[in-house]
Amino acid sequence: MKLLRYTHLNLSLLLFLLLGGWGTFFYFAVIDEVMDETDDALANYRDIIVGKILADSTLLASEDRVIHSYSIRPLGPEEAEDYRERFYDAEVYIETEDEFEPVRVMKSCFMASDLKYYELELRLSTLERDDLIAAIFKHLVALYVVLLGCLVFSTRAILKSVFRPLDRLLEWLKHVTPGQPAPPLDPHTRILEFRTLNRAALDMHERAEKAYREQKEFIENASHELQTPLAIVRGKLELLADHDNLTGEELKEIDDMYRSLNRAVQLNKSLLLLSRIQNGQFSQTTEVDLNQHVRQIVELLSEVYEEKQMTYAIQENGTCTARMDESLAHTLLNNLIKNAIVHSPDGGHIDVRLDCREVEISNDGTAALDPQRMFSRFHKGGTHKESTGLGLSIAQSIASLYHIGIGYRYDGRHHFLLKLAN
Amino acid sequence: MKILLVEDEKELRDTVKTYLEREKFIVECAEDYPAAMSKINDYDYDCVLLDIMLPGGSGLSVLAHLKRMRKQESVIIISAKDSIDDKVEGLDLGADDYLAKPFHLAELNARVKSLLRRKKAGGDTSMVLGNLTLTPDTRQVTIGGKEIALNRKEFDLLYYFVSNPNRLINRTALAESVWGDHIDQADSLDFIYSQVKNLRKKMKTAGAQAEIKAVYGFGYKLLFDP
Repeated sequence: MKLLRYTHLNLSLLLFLLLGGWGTFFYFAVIDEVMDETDDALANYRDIIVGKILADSTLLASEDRVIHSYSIRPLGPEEAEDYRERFYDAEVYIETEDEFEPVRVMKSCFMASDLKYYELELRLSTLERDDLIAAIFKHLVALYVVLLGCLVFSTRAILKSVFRPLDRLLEWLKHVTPGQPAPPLDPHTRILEFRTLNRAALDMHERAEKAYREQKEFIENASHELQTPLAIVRGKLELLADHDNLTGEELKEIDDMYRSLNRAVQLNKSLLLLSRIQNGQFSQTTEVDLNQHVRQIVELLSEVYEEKQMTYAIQENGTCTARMDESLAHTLLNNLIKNAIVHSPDGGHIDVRLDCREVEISNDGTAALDPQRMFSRFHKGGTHKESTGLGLSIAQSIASLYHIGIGYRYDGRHHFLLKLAN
Repeated sequence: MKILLVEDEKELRDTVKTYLEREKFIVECAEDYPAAMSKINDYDYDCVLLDIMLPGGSGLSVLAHLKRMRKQESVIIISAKDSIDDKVEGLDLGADDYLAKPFHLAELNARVKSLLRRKKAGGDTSMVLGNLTLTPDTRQVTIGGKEIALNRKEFDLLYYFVSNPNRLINRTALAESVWGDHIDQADSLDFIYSQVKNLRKKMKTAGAQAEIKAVYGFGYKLLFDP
């Protein structure tokens, strides 16, 4: 979930509950006040009527049925004994309107000048009160909806603008890859924390870039510097071997040196290749026919690994072409196929399957490789002393240079899958 | 045949010089940029072996200067910096070949000879060793006037042998010249054995005067007594 959405959702939920709670409380408080008002009015009315009746007892028989209606009923002494004043809502029939109307009723008791108890029933129409309550309710709901809407909308807008520098930073981070020029990032924003974050990101990138560059340059320079001494030793050994009066024993020694030297040469070449791939020094992109390369590689490698007595099957379901440097395409396929051969038991079987956008290389094996480490430099799964430990690392670098997915799975056989981007 | 070797590393210079002199080439050396420039200005050579990174300047400027003077020297760039850019730039400037360090001396020798053949023969680039004639352009081999059929690898092997007659060549150098980068992890180089065996048989059957001799534990030698 995005930070903006998460924050916004939480804030909205909070606002929804708070405003809802507050609205409900407000509504009931107002209603309570309105009810009180009616009851107060009734009490005042009673005081007036009782006052009038005490002054003029003829009014005891009177009644009013127009707006504020009242009626008086004599009470028996027992009834009067524990009389309680009450308020309640009721409906009365209005003849003129021919309908029932809601009223608030107050029943009260008083002693008239004849020392008898009477019950005074006062009725006050609550039509207006109910209208008022309905109006309050309506407006409150409208207010609630509008307020909530405005708040939700504006918090979103504010959050969005607050998070904009963060979004920019994240977008920038997405485009940062070591060894490649980073897109520009303007560190200036009004928010201190984001400014610090931007600066830190830029700073980190710069340092990472520097370390990366230095490491790269170091490997490249070291490899280059090694070429000359290697060339000298190789040349000297070749000259030495060419002397006529050498014994077989001596030649054997020279051969051992020569072969060890060759491993150093290969290792150095591989390191150089790796650093050149990562430097993006291969810019000649052409449409490469992978099928043809696979056929050629399998043919050559089957000769080189003749003594392993492997069997090979190339299944071409389609023509697989990729836009890349031809020599790198060759190296990529060559390293994977060679890896498959070298790590297969003698007499094993290699399958290469080519589809339009996929190449899968499968070989026999006894246990799954460690997918975390198999592509790392100098990680050697087996005990192959001649392996440089860079083959798969180079393959992966090439694949990532051209955005080719490289996958591995094990189901009793090793499967390496190249997935070309569309 | 006169060769100018421009290389700043003394040991390497000596090694290459010794090897090429055994091939009856006359080799002169220059160890830095000014020396290379003055040699080029003063003398003519058949072939120049040119290192790119030189004290005092770039080998590429030497090359450019050579081409400006419209000299006929063939140029092979030998560089420790096996970079595509250098290669492309060098070849664009008019170099004939590019060889990355560390190279096999036999390989360098084969390249030099190939260039010189191309230059002097006026079209005929074939190599002759007694009754054996090998034509790289058409990939044809005749022995005693009769053409013999060789597959691609056998031809490449023979070409390497014929370029370096009477030289002991290590299996690794042979394997690399034919199989290129494919052999870098190979556990054994025994596969060379069966290929050379076939080639040897074919040559013997056809009655070639040159003969491939196996040197146990090391490699092979093409024996030819002129």
